[in-house]
Amino acid sequence: MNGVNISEDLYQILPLIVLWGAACVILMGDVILWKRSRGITAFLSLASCLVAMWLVLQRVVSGDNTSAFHDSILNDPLALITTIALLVTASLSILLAWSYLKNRGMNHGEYYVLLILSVTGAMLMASANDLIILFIGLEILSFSLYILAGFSRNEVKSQESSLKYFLLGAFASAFLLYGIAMIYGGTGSINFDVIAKEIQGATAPNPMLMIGIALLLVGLGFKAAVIPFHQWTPDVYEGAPTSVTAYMAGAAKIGAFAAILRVFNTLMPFHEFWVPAIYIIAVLTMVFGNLLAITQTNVKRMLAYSSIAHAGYLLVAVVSMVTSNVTAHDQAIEGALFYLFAYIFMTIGAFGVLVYLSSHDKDYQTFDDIRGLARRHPLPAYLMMFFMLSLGGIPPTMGFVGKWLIFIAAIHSGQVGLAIVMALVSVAAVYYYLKVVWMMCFEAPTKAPSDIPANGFPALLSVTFCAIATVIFGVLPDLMINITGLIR
Amino acid sequence: MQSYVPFVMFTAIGFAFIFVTLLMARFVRPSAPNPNKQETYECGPVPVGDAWNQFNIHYYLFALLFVVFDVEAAFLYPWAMAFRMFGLYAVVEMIIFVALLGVGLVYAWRREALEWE
Repeated sequence: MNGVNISEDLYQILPLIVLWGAACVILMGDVILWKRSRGITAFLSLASCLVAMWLVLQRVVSGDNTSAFHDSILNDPLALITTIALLVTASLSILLAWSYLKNRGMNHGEYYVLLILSVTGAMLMASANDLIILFIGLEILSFSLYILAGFSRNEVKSQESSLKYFLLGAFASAFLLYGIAMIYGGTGSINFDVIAKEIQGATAPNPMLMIGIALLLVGLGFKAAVIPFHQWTPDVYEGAPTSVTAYMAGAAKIGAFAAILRVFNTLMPFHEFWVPAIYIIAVLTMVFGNLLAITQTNVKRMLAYSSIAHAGYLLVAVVSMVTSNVTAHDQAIEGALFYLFAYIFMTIGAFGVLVYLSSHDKDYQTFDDIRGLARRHPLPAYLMMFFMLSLGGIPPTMGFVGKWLIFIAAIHSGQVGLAIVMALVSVAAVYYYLKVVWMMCFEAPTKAPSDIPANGFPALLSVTFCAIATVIFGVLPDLMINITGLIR
Repeated sequence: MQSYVPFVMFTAIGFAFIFVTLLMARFVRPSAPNPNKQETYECGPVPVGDAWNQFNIHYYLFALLFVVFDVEAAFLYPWAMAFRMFGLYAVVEMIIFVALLGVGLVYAWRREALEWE
């Protein structure tokens, strides 16, 4: 610690520093300089996300792959790709929020600042190479999300969602932290490289390490919303303002899965112990996530259960990582990364349509609201149709390609049982996604079509971008596979 | 695992101590029940009202702002003890840290969290 490498270390986390600095400057500017014009706040937040994304892309192009801060931060391709996904999520969410916040009477500059701060937390999770950094990143992400979930201060539901998320989230963090302590006790280190080396030669599993892995799985499983740690998801997703839900569904899941991929890749020598656990969780998540989604009558709740089901598909990729076949191992990670991109475009798009339609006196949420939508507002209805088809995994959309990649990876690594479950529940899932399409296109509206859509151009831009991305990467998946293939 | 044996023993003795003392007290002490013994003891004066009354929500804000200074002091002390070893680097680090806490304070001030309404 003599200050020699400090500039190199800081260079490695430059995107994070840009965002942290931007968050402070924007917060100060918002309360001192441009008090009433949130447009500047939103614009600067978007700009800082784009600058950070440019810095990350530069690093991807240059193939820079070094660790910083005594190996506690690692900017390998896995971290860089998930970071790009996170920054895309943040940018799209800022665009979504722009007019929604104004219409719903919660136009506070803190929204954008908290959003930027939470995305830095998830970025830190993605590039964490040690358990404490992982925990700090998770907490930065979660604290901001707890506040954002309760951002609609006049709605009881939003408050309830925030409180529920906070109490359960704090509980899950405790599990995670206890797991970290146990792993440290079992291996003598918090650094992933050292842990991997430590357990490489071990013959009998160390009980303390086993308890640690189990607790870690609970903590990360909560953030990723997998069954049986999913109970908070529908309530929080429903109660939070829709623009927050869109962001939360994207960022929290990417951060959690970046961490899950890295942690369980590190713990590979112990796979006999943790694979059965994740196997069972994956089956439960896929089956019950989809079955529970069928009975919902609120679009936000339905999408919440659908996001649980998608976490199950991602867990299939995590299980498929465990194989002696190196190609299949890489295929599984690639599939998971591709699926994460597909997931953010379709989920943010689907929530984004609801955000776009909501005006100051009407928050689009229930099936009644979207009944006959194609006749009243054709453009958002048809965009929604794309997202539903993609979420259901119907070609030629990104959702189909993502599912297919994970499916192939599962078969190549010998997880035929999981692949079959995945295929079967995907068929069941199509039912409730197409039900939305059916209601929008073929049913008569239940109420007089008097409502005027909030003409939020930025929100429409964001939703359209998602729709174009789902179709382009669905038709030409190679464009995306070129990026996710960097992990090889 | 060997090194944890003293820890387990310490925990076991700690728990045992509580029950042993309570049990001993039960057998040794005289029993003289009195309704005055059920009262809340507050430095002698007779208690007024209920302990479950509402506090002004503003105290919460002050408590939160107190944390800003509390954290600052907690970190400044070890820093002051060690900063000769790190030199200029440590000074810059601490300036950034204090500035970040300052951002929180300025924010609270400009959002009028310090006004007592």
